[in-house]
Amino acid sequence: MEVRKIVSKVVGVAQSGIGVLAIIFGYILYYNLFDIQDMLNASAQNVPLYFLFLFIFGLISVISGFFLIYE
Amino acid sequence: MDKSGLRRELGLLHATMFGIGGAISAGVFVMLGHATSLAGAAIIIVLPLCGIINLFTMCSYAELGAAIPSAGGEYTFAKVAYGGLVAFLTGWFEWISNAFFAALSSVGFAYIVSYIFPTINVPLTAIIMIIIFTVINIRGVKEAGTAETMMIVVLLIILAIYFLVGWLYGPGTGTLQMSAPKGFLGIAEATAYIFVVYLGAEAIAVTQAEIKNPSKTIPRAIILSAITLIVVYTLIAYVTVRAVPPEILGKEVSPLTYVAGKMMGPLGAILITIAGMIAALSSLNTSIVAQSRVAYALSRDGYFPAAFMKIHRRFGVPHVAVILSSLFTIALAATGVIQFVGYATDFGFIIGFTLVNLSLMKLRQKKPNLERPFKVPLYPFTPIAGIVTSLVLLLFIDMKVLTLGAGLGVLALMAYYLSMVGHYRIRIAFGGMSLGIGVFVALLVYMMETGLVPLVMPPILLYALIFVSATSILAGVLNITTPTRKIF
Repeated sequence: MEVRKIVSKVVGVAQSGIGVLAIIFGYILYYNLFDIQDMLNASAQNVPLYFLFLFIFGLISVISGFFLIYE
Repeated sequence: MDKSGLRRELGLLHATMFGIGGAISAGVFVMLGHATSLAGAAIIIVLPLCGIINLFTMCSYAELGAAIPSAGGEYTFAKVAYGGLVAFLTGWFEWISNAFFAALSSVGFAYIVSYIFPTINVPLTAIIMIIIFTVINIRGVKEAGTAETMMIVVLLIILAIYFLVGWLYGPGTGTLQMSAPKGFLGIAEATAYIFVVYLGAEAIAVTQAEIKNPSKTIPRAIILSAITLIVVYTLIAYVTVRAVPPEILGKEVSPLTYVAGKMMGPLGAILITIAGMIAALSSLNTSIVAQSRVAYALSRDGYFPAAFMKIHRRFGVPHVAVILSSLFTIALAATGVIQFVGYATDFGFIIGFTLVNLSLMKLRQKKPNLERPFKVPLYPFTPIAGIVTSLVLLLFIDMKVLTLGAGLGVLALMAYYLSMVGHYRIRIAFGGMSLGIGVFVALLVYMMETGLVPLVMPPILLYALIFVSATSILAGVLNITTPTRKIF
């Protein structure tokens, strides 16, 4: 049981971290900070869609990660 | 100490000041101008009319507060009367309205300060004030009550000076020419517009678990604060329209400051600005108390996470509810979208009024033998008048309010059904989503590697995607195979 708890915490922290990074990346992409849209050849028309995907993915990852951290 | 763990430390004076402080916000200092442009000098009829409409519902608050003196106010009344979804919706709107009202008060305070110090950062000032009052509230409800009493006493003294100077030495002919330039419709619009200045006094009912001798103190404090507000607002409106014609007042951003400047010079303008700041802070204080107690009650019944229910050992207050509710308020205040915040406050409070009157009528039928230290006079006409007048006011409010209200209602339904589903099932659902995302990303990587998808990626990004996929799959499996079936 102890091993499962440790694994859950590690995976939870990793998944939450991924989620937070995805949301931050989504914002950077949406507001075109550091000219990232040019760097990634992302068309401005599709950027809101990318942001939506990244935000939903990030939110699910953060919530799922928190369930594991506070198991 | 109440059996909930909350301490009964508020007497009649503190409770009444909570009611007055909850209602007198920055609103009256800035809204009187537009209301006067709608109703003309008839504003001195509009304000007591609003007060009487408010009094109908305050009578219901007094009866229910004395009969069911436990934390949560409207939510607790609706829970005893109806239970289930109606109770949750009442609590939800009450919590949201108070959070919005706290944000509105803090941003209002910051705007008033910005008249004196134009260089200040408005959202930052608002956030600092929320933090200060959160700390005061964590220190204990008595400290919050004492802070409120001090602020309201100073505020009432300043308003009394304003009235006396206006009455004895103010400009004007001494006689008031009654006028209503837009007729009945203008008076109705002004009533709907300025009604918000009476909202907030029901905070007494929310803190009822912390009031000494509640069966006597609650009805007295509620009725006393409602009548005091009618007197204060009517007298202020009278000297204001007597001193300056309504058509000029309508153009002023801060009409009371303008009139005080006319009557008392720059000192008067400064004095009224200080009064505006105190009013904003007192309503901020009251709404922080109210929203945390509603969150506490919702948590007590399993709708909100259990953390909201924790009581501080030393200070005897629901400190987690105070902190988390204040964080929500800070997020709202930081946006600075004051119009949105104002609309939400109006809608939530008016819906709350209707539900309280309905709860009173339901309880009279359902529990006729319930001990009622105070009874609403002229029942059932008083609560029916409360419901009808509240709903009529809703008709004169901007259409955006109704749209926003519908959105908040949908959010409430989502929150209610999620809380009914329970922690375990939500966790399984998120585990499933995680697993699905992980498998999808793994499939994408495989298709890119085998050339099925014509997308070339640098190796570092490919490894990152593999890491994301592995983590998501593992997290999904761990969440689905959770050993605990905890339902909150």
